[in-house]
Amino acid sequence: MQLTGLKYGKRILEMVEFPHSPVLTEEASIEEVSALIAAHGGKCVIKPFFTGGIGKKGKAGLVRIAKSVHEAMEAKKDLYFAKHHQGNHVVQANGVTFEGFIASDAEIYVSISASTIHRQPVMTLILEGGVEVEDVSPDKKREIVFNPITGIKSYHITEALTELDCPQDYISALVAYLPKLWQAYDTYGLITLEINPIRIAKIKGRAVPYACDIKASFDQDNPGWKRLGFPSEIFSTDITDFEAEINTLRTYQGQSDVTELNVDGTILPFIFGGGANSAATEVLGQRAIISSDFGGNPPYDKMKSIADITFKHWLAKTNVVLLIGGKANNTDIFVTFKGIFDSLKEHIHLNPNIHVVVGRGGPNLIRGMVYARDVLDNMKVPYQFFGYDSSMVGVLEHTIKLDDWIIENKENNKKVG
Amino acid sequence: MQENKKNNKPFPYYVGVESLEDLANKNSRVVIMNILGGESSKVTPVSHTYSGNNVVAGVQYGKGGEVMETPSGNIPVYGSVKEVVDAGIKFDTGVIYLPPAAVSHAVSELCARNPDIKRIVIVTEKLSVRDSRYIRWGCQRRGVDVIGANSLGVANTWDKVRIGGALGGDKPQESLVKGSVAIHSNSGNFSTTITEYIKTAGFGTSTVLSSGKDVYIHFGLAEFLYAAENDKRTKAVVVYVEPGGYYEKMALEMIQQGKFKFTKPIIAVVTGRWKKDLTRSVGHAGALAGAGDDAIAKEKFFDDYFGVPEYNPAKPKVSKLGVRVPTIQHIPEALAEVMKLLGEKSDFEPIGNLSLKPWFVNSQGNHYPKELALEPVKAIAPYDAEIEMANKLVGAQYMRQAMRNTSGATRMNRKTDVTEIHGVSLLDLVSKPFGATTLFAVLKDFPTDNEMTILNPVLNWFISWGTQFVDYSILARKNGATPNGYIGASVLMSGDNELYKALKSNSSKMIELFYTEIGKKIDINDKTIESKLGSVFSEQAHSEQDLKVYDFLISELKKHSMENIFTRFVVAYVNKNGKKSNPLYLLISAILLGASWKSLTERRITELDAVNLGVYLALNGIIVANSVINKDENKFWKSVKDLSDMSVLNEELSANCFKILFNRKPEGKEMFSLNSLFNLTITNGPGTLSAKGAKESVSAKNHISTAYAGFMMNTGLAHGGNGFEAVAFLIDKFKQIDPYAKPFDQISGELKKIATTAAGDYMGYKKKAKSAGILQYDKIPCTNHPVFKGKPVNVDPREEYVRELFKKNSLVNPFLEFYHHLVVELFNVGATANVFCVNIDAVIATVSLELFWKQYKANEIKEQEMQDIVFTMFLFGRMVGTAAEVADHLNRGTDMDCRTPASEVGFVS
Repeated sequence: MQLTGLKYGKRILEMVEFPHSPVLTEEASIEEVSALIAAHGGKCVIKPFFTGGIGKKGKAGLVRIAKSVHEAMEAKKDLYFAKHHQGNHVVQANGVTFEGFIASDAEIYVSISASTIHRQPVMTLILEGGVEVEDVSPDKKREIVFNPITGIKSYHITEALTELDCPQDYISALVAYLPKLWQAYDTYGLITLEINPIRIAKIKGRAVPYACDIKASFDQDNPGWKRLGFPSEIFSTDITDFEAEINTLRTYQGQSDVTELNVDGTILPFIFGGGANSAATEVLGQRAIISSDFGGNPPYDKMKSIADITFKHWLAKTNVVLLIGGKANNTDIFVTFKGIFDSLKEHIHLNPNIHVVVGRGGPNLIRGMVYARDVLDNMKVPYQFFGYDSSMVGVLEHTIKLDDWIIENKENNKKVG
Repeated sequence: MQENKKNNKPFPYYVGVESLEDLANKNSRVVIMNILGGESSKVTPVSHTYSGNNVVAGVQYGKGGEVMETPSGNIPVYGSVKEVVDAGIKFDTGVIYLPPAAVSHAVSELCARNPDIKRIVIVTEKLSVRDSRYIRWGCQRRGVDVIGANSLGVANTWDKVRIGGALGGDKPQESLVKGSVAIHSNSGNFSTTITEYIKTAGFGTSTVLSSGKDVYIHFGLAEFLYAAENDKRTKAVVVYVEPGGYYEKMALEMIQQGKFKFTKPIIAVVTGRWKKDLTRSVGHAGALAGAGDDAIAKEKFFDDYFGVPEYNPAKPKVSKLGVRVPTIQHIPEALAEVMKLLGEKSDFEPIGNLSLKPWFVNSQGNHYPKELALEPVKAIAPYDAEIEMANKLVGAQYMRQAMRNTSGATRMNRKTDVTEIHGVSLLDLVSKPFGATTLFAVLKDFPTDNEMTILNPVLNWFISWGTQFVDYSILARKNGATPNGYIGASVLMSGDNELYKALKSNSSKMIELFYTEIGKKIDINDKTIESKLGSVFSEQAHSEQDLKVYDFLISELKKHSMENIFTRFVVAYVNKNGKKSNPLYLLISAILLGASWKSLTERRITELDAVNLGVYLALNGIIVANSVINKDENKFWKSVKDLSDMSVLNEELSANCFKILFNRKPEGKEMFSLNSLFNLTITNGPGTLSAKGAKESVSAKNHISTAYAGFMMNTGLAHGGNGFEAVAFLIDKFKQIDPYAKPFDQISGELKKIATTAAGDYMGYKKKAKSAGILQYDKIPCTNHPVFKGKPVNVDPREEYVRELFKKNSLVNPFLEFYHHLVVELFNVGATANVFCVNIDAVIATVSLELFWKQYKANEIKEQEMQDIVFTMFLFGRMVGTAAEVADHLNRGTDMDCRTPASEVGFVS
């Protein structure tokens, strides 16, 4: 669960009274934009708005500075549906923000993030803004390791900024405000909070730090984020309809994690266990319609509901339904198989031509396999079941070969009379 | 830097254990938090017994005083950790199964209340990162090692101790075999899987630890490797790693910087390259990487450490420090190579291998290429014995459930409104021989044409046998019973007679004798037959005619090369034992079992279906036999009864049905029409009155014959009668014209005129009725449909399909064509709001009328007889669907499941 930008991110800052550049949305009137420009030295900043997170790479080229309302509106037109490439993903903006330009000769980068080296959050400070933290040399950044119970204190900030040769009047401004970010981090279930940049403006002779952008990622296992009162749709484009439907089943009883990988894929994998999820998704590559983890011994009703949703969305285009995992520790294979195959009985009419491959081990294994066998025989669906004494990767590679064969022979599959 | 409890270890944080043995051993004493919860209830008894009773107590808030039963004795349960300590119970390890929000509180409790606590295992997943941070801080100060969260615990294979979750599964002794390899795995599942894999290279385990893959891993790789170095039992370490976190980098850097000595080889697997572009975690919470800790970065950490590239099985190259392998399946091989390089022997002889060994396979007739066409192999113990037991179960196995308003045999396709039986649309059945359809209804597969050469004689013999009940039907008809009543009377009188009993017991016995021995093939095997001849079958009387039919069937079997092991067995049995058992009944059982065998061994039907098949077919025979209108004048019926000419048995079933119904031979395409009609009406889903009648009778635990009667009693003039109303309507409209007097193209115009007149008449009737305040006026039968309506021009796709099929077979039914004109004219005169569809009942009515038109015009058939024939034709079709529903309900239903709950029943005064 991630968000980028001040449109919604400002809420986090406002809850702890951390200043930020004023923000208007794409619905702002010309008068409002004009007033914004006038109040900020004749400039405003226009940025495309992306829901969800857009990853670690910057939005270079997607930020405009306008000196007039006309320029601002032109920028709005250009950026409203801007596309941003991130790895294999292309995300599309849906709207813009107009943000007050904060004149400053100083920019700061600050983040609080979970550090696996220290196994607690750390604060990172850089006396430059708009940078990618990985690209900054170690002497130009400071990592503050603090007591994770009592939090970040002013002296942490003072000491770090002094080591970075920060100008004194900036130190006093930052010392007053940066600890507030810890309050936000701790209260609202954040895993990462990044302000990049903070621009320090002079207001009536006093230095005041303004957050000019924000990136936040939330811990989906910590309900603290709900206190922010965000509308649910701001995280929604992070996930697809299918993923959202599966997510409604999320409980601590068993996993129900899915990601849509390739809507044109041909293998529909029910994967059990995080390890199997990693390995199987890698081997299956683009053939996998989804990546899934249904391990952790989900009860029958949950497994059946998961399968209902999955088959409803994907069975029609599937060549091979694959059930894969290692030797389960406590997942009842009979219960999970019954859930899946009971669902398959109800959905087989969507695609009676599937093949099924199973590679699994664990408690009640044979009972589960026999149940699956009986269901599939009744429906005349071809199958091959492997126990845990066959290599999981071997089963995956075999499934790929089967998929190849099905694709090749889709029109010409011959059956004995 | 926070102030943590320190000891003489090379870490900037607290690590308690010195050696892996310290994590879990025979001296460990364990308390389980939330011991009585769902997961712990299943796992703890196994862990406790496996570990030699190391769980000294459990905590369940609010349930102090209870016990957890285990195979090796009860574990006392207390309401809090304080109560455990106050009871004088000493323990050093806590395991937490609580829900996520309660975990950090439980950790606090363990630390605050037990001065001896040394280790905590957190099984719970989905712990918030914040709580995980609190736990880390608190336990570091307190000096407690934490394993997890989201961990399946830790196992010491040498001491046979397992602490935490279900590592090793429900039979840990299978997976946890003593050896020299320690495993640190981010995946709980792979912790156990890898122990299985390394057995194939002859290696067992010393300590296995499931670290979890949350953002904060509390017992990371660095401390694990440190402890492994100090563990005399461990000679190598296998590491399974996912993206996210710098745990591995830290560990390897500490070794390279000399922070601690590490001399043992590591076999590492890193997975998750594909997660690079994800913006949220899938699977493990912490397996979401930034830039420097993704899978590729981690691969490089290890490769740089080992000094050799990723293991390549084609050109194996390893170092003494170890190697990184591409997938877990390469671990055993790479491990063996590394240990060989170090001059170390394996722990034991290799057990098994990881090649593809399917345990269950069914290609369902697909012709796979060689590399995909795997044959099932014997599974490893103990699964081989379990599979053998499962394979001894005959046929399909169903779990029972309430089957009211539910069917596993038929369904209505919601999109097309066409009923399907066993997944086959009725429209696809239309052209099948009706005799084959009667078998399909129970067997779920169609017999081949060659099989029908021997099955038709059996089906026709059942008609012959069924004639014995005709006096009951005659009496009932004489008393004014409708066809469902008078034929139903004969059906009921058949009870559970000697034939039914014999067929069931013979089939059951043959299944018992042959099922496990012959597998799917029913080829003749004299040796096998010989070995079964000592069996004893039930005894029944036989008649001379029975013996004649027996001889006839034997010759037909030979003629059509349809003998199989069952039929040959029967011949051998009869030859050896004489005729104490009715040879004909034996032979029919054998023939039917041969027809059932494929469906039975492929587990598409149950043993009960195969055993009861003869009963269903015999009941069908009774229905046909007792439909005769006037038996004394029907020579065809007599020939079937007497069997003076056996060739009557070779007819297609529908041919004998025709002759018995109409007392004449079919001409031209009449057989095609009647056959189509029968197939079209076999079912309309489980919601129909006929299906419900049968199912409710099964639900009340009746014989199959009574269930058949149930179907028949639930039919009535609203079924076939609707067809008869249409017949009456058509007869009235065609009073003045014989549509068969001229070729169709010459009367087409006439049909339109008749339709126009009929429409006008109806409009007049409707206006009159409305002005008289009669709102329930008559509708024209066979037009309109509750689903296919509302459009400007409506079509019943089923009727449309059949009409097209008939046209392709050069069949044009003038009465049906008249209906199509009629619906248009009704709209034209304003009697209907749009053009109604001609529904499927019109097909039934018009085909029926066509079949007895000539006889009607020649006054050879009375009106009542026509009504009875139309009704009976419906019964012939529907009896087939009934067999499917009855079989399905007998397999799956529960007693009294068709009862309507009181809450769904209404009352009106």
